[in-house]
Amino acid sequence: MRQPLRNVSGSLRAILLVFLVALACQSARAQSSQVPVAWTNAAHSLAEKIVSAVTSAHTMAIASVQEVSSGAPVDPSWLRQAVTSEITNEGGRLLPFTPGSPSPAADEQVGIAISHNVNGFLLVAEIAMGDAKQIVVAPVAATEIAPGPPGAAPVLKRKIVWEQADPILDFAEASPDPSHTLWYILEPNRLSAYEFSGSSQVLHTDQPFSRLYTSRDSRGRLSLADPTHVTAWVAAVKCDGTWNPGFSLNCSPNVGQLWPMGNVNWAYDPTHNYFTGVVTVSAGVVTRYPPFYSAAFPPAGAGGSTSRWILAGLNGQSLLFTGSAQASAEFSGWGSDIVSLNSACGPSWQVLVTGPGDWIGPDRIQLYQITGHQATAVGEPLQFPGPILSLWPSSDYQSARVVFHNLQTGMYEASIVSVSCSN
Amino acid sequence: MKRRLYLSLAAISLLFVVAIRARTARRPAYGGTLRVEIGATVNSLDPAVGAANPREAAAKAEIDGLIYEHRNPDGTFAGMSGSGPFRISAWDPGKSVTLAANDDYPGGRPFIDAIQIQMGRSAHDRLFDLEVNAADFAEIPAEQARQAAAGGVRVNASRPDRLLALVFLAGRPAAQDQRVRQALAESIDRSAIVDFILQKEGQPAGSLLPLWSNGTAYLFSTASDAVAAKALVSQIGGSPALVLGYDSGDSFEESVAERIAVDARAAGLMVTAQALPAGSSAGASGLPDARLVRLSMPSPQPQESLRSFLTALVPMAGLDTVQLPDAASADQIYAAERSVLDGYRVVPLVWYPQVFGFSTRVRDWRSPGPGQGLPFADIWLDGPSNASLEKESP
Repeated sequence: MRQPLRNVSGSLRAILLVFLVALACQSARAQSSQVPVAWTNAAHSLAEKIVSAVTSAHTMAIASVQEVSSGAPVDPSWLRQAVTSEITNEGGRLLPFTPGSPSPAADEQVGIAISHNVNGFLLVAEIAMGDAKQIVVAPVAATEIAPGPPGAAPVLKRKIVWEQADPILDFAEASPDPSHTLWYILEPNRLSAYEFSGSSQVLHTDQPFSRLYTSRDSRGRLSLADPTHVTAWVAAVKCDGTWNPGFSLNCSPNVGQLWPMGNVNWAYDPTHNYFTGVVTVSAGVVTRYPPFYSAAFPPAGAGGSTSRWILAGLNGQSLLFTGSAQASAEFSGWGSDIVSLNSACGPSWQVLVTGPGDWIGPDRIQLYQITGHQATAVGEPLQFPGPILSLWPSSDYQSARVVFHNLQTGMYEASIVSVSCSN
Repeated sequence: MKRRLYLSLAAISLLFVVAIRARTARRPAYGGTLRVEIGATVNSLDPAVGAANPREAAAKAEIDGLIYEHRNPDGTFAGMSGSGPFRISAWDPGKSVTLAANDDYPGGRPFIDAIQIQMGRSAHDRLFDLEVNAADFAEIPAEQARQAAAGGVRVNASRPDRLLALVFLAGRPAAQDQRVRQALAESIDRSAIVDFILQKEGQPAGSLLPLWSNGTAYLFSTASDAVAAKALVSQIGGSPALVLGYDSGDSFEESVAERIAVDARAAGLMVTAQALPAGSSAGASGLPDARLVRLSMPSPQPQESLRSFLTALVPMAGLDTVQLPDAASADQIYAAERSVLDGYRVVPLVWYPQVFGFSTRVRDWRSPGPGQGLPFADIWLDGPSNASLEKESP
């Protein structure tokens, strides 16, 4: 049974396994019961510093609480209350404050601010006695950013399953038995395997491999023959990983740079970031298409044909091919990554498509329905706070594996995207 | 008639932009040559040959950042020339350098094939070339950012990570009296410098580090107080005269120095702005009582940047050594800043950003943070220059 959050102790990388949860609306400010512990701790630390800085015989009053920097999950009234309580607990002689009335005449006036520096939020207190001023600062420990609330009527659903600081090319999850789960994380120069049992990590092993080529936009793909046999295609090598009993990896040059897609093999350019357009249908039978970044064909439940392809081309145009190397339709405004889905939401061919734009801003995934030569957007796009770097279909085409770079946190996040028909 | 023509041109431009947007894909494309213009001239790329002035040193460091594998903590570069994402393919000292993509770069070959860097281009020429699409990339003086954007240039500004400060130089008798220094500091209208000289592309500075880095900058006042300045001058008696130096090749510094002189005169201080030899190091000239100094943050971390600033400022202003622990807390950083600024030997004026201008085909640009080089290995060029993609794969 997969757990919503696993803490991998001893690993240099922060790894989180979280479910997308419904949250209160974004504008709501934290109530005291919801204030992150880090803020309570910071308020306590600030109060301690204030009390230490003030002569014990002096009275003090909190003259002001202001937000110098925005975006904090607490508001000034909570902070005033928290610091007041903590100062009192620490034995400070704090005069009571009544909202709407002037600050009481105390020996020392304390001005508190919520500020932010390059490392995170700070609580700053300016303690004034006449012209003399003292400053004390309490940093707020960084906290995890919870995922945002789902849309009101989601068609596309995203489940964040992994997060780490290092780039991820692809990932896979498998369960060899009901009590164990294996996770494979493919990075540009290693394949990591994690074994979990219940809520604890049993094993973590990194298997580095030698790349034959390096691309600035490295791409890779994982495929599972069964839970304990994984194959990786990356950087002109093909690696087979097995458990016997520990995890080991055997890599060799990928002759012809062929990556399997459906029943055919596409040639990848390992020095760049795209497929050359050469497809090997069977031994000796080769067809040429324009170079492309990604491809989609109708899975079994939606017509099941490898003679129909949509290729996301290098020029931003996605082309539909139906049985020949001549495009029969052209779709614009699509990004460079597409996958087919075999959802239960209809008999037609459905494709997930990333958004156009640069890698410096947010991204999206839009579901399209392909009927004949037409592509029709279905439902609302799923938004991502950073560029999608990898999009591959699951083996049953029921969902897609998505890796994106979260520009808000700097982390690389792996997600499973699926389509819900319930709404 | 003219109006109709303008409207037609605007509509065509809009369609062009829409067409470009519609054609673009997210994953980076390979190919093309980036045309770069810089103001400085670099006369030698030999690591053993020193730069003639700070501008040449900065430009040389940017080029080194592209051709060496990485920068060491001490600011030097590791590896051999050509071990970085680019290697030198053509070199005309003082005029131009062409860099070619390094296919074997461990971090992956850059997306662009080459960079052509033209040196010694004035700010006016750089801006003009961006406007007429004769250049793809150039740094724009912060005070010209608004003009550049109005001229149709794509403009991107970093976070404000550069400080312009006024420093009273050590040993100058005219500024020995703290009241003189305080009166000048109180008289300066920083908001006017930001609004009128920087064209709002900056922030008034009261501390050495900006708020986004130290979180305590708001505790330092940036307001001018002409009344207090006059009161101080009246206490001193007479009309103290000061010479304020600025870099003669720097129109921004010249404008600021003249503005300070005007503010000072209103408070009863006689300040004369004086040009110093272009590119001279911060404390080189012995003539002025004070001078304007530009400081660039080498790191977003406040303790690292403050340490760098103190290295420059303490000897120049004749300050007592300021202790700053390696892992300084926010309180200690605040205290160190306060100790430097309380004597008014260093007067922060404004923080301003690095501003870059681009052609429309430059994609995936991210402003470099403090201490980071230009990220040319990560950008790519949009447009029809990808003929090389048609070749057979290896």
